[in-house]
Amino acid sequence: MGNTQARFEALVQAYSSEIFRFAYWLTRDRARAEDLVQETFLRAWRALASLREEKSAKHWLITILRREHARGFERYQPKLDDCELDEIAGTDHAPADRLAVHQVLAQLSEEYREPLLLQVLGGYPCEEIAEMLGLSRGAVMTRLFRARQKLRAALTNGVVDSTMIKYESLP
Amino acid sequence: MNCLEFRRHASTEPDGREAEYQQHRRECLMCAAFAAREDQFELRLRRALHVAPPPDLTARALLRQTLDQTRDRRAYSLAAGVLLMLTLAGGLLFRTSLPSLEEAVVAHIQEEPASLITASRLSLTQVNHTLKTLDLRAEASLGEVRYAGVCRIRRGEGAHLVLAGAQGPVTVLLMPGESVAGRVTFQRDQLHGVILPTGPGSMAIVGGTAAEIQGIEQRLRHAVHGPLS
Repeated sequence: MGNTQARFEALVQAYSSEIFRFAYWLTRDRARAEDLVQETFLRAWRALASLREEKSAKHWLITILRREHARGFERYQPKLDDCELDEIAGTDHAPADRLAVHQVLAQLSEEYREPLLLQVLGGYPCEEIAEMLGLSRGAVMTRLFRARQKLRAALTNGVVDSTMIKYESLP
Repeated sequence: MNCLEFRRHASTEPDGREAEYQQHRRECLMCAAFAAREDQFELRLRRALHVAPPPDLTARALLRQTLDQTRDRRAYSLAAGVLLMLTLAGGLLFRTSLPSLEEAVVAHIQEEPASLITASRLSLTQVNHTLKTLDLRAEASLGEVRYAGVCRIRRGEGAHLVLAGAQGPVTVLLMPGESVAGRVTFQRDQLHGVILPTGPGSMAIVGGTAAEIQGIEQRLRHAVHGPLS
């Protein structure tokens, strides 16, 4: 039991921040994200024996998190008030970008949001995202392109990069 | 890889490390500039997504796990305690629900009052026809038999005989499946008798005087053959 406990604590220390970020952008709500992280690690503790390799720990945790999110967490669009805006902006050097990203992701449907989060925060390649979501690789790439297109527009204050190629026009 | 394919790749998988992708980036200045702008965008995106977790997140996750463990241990202890109680109660219930052999003997006689009032004498053939069910056989020296039957007595089947005694009917129960450690004399509900071991089983003789019971015991031991010998 002592070894298992130590292993679990190491897992929490190593991945709680990344898991939180994924949960945060999945739910766009800090309190819900915190709850989701708690549930995720609790389930991870109970299923720790099923984690065979430490190098797949992050993906294993994200899988649990996504399952928990799908199981019982209500999907709703959080309304931003002034306090929350300050919280979202944070105290680092990217407050405006964070607000813009928050608003875009809030508007994106989950079918576009989740592939992006899996890629950028989860580090999954397109093939794995396709497998996880039950989509073709092409469908995943289309969704990634569209999500990035919207985010790019928001981060450049609505100015579309003139060299950007419309994905739909590609053969 | 042509420019269209490159830019499609750069717009969806900016972390691409494929050799083809890297080679085109090195060879095509326009696409390299495009990829550089994508890299900048990607960097801004990742910075924007980098939200700080609550400072006590790790501690709370560990606390939640500890509490869950404690609750599980309590639940297991409670379940074990309940299981133990149920086992003990079940054992007690089982023990108290089975009557003693003497109680069973008396109850059986009381349940079959007709066996005690039959006046007809059964032939040895009739008696052995009944006893054959239990692989038993009687000789004529058993005496006058007024009733013979095979009945369920407590744990198993036994032969129920009623012999004519000097002062009234005497009931004999031959019980191959009921063993007793030693001779037991009892008096219950105006019935008196004795239960004694015979072979792997036992026999009960109820009614008559003490001397009469002793005489019947001797006759049974000599006249009845089979598993109870």
